[in-house]
Amino acid sequence: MRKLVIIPAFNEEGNLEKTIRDIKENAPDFDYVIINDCSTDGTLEMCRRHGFSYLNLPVNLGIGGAVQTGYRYAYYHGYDVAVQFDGDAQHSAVYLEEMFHVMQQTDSAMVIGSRFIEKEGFQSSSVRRVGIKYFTVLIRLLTGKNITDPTSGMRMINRKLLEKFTEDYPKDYPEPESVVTILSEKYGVTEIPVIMNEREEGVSSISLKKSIYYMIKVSCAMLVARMKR
Amino acid sequence: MMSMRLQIVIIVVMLLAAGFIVNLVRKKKIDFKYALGWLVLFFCILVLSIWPILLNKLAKLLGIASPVNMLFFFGFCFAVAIIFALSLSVSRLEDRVRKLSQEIAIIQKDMYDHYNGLKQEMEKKDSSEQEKL
Repeated sequence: MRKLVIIPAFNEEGNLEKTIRDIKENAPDFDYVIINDCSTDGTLEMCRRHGFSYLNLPVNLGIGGAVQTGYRYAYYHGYDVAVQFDGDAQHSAVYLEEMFHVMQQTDSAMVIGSRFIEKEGFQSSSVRRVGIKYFTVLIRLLTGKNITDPTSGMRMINRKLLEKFTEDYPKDYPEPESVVTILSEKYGVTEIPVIMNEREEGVSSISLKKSIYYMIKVSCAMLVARMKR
Repeated sequence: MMSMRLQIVIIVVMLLAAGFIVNLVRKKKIDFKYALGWLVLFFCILVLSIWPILLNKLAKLLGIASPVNMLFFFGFCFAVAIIFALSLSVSRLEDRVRKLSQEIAIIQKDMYDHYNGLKQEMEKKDSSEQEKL
């Protein structure tokens, strides 16, 4: 089984080195690839200097397009499993093996690392938690399934979903929307508890100003995703 | 009825606008595919303002009291249709750009990896030949 870690990176110069070291130490069976989405800091130079494995996008595509680049790469190169992993050192690579085992045992198409099953580690701000809870409720209404952390950026998918996401993946704020899509199409989704850290450097892609647009856009997109089937 | 003065103003403006677009097509600044919609719009407004009887009949048919409003309504609907067609083509373009960029990034990496693989092979060969000597 060939497994790939996909690390979307937009101005993650300060965090990437630690992330890669974490993966090499704690998930040695996994290959990794960084997707540099037109960073304006020294992310690209750092990848070159350290000889990291990276894909360099010629134009900025946003998080959805960047992650899809990784899926496309994984699909073309015959990987069986790909896992999205944030480059900002919020995620910990010790969970990757466990996610893979759970995926095989439960025969799931997607395994999500959730912060809110055992409620340990960094729990996000209270405002964000309300937003995440809202998505959880909306997903339950739309699909009848319980996903405790639909915005989690730590998600492992199998080859079938790799093919599907290479063809079609949401452009911005892709996580909750794509969960609804695959639940509607009766793919299995499993969550495992993980502990995430608070980001140390860089800023989250979702500022407060954008969060209104985020909520509305994702809600509509989820409805549309449900209607497709 | 439309006043003569308004008629002349509309005719002149439409002719100028059409001339402007034809000139852009001539200089290849705009694709004829995209110019066509606008030219058809200008032509229709031109015809309607040259023969206002047509306009009056249409206005009466739709229950619009003033024929000039009929002209505006027609122009508005047509322009909205053109703008919507543009939204469609922007979406398609965006999809294409996204796919192209992804493919370019992947090809770049594959080429780089391939080149590095060859280089390492050559170096290995070189060193083993040196050992033989």
